[in-house]
Amino acid sequence: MSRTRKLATAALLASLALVLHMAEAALPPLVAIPGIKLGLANVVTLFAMVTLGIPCAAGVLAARIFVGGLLGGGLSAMLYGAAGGLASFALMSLLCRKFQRKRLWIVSALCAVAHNYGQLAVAIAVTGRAEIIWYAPVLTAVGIIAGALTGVCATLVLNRLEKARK
Amino acid sequence: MKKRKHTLEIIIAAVFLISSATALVIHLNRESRGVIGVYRDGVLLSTFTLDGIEPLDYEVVGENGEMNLVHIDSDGARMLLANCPDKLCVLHGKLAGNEPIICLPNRVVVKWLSAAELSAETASRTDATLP
Repeated sequence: MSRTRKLATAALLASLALVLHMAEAALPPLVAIPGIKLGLANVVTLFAMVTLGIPCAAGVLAARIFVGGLLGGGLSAMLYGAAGGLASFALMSLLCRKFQRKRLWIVSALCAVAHNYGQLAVAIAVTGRAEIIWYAPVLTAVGIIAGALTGVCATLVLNRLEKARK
Repeated sequence: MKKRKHTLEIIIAAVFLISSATALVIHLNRESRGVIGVYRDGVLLSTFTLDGIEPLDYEVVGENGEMNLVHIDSDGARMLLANCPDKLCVLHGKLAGNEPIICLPNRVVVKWLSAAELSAETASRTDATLP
């Protein structure tokens, strides 16, 4: 892939991630626990990491968190997004190459849990109350499910696009 | 290789089951009931002893216009109103299990006080209960 094409693809993916992010934020929350959501935009991050590599995926993620914060939740959303994104991205970049595409959902589930722990840490730091740790088990369980689902999505998208390109 | 593949999947499933079970236990565990504390920025603002309390609404106001209205009666507490963007604390409903009601944007926490926190609190305050 040429550099220009890569850049254009990354920009396109960033805007796609942003749309998914905003669309998901517009939906009513499933349960009244902060931080529980599907995380559809993660599909795009995974996709970007597999097809474009780690630096481009980092750009896509950073753009989504920054612009998403500007459009929606403001500074606090940006802070939580960055904490979760950083934790999840670090793990993703370590694991991504080590797993076959079919097992991407495992990477995604682990990253989702890392994402939730990152946000939990910020929540504890911001509110100053350690009791928020009570949410860790819920966030672990939900993270595994949500991450696995978005991971399966990413695998499906990758397979389809590969077929389409041929 | 095949064996290893399944190991990871089993571990993930096990972690999922254990964490769900723990979450359920936390939710159903209602041992430390009796006194509710309202915190903002990690500072205890007020405590409420539920035994025989008259229903009341307690307002928490922050420096930047943050506002949360906590309704407290003999049955527990819930967030009536909040001017944060997501209103998750209002949707949380009653303070039920051990999980505190949290308003992340406004940094407000409503929780049951543990026995240890309670004794520390009564030691440092003369008037621990609001009318």
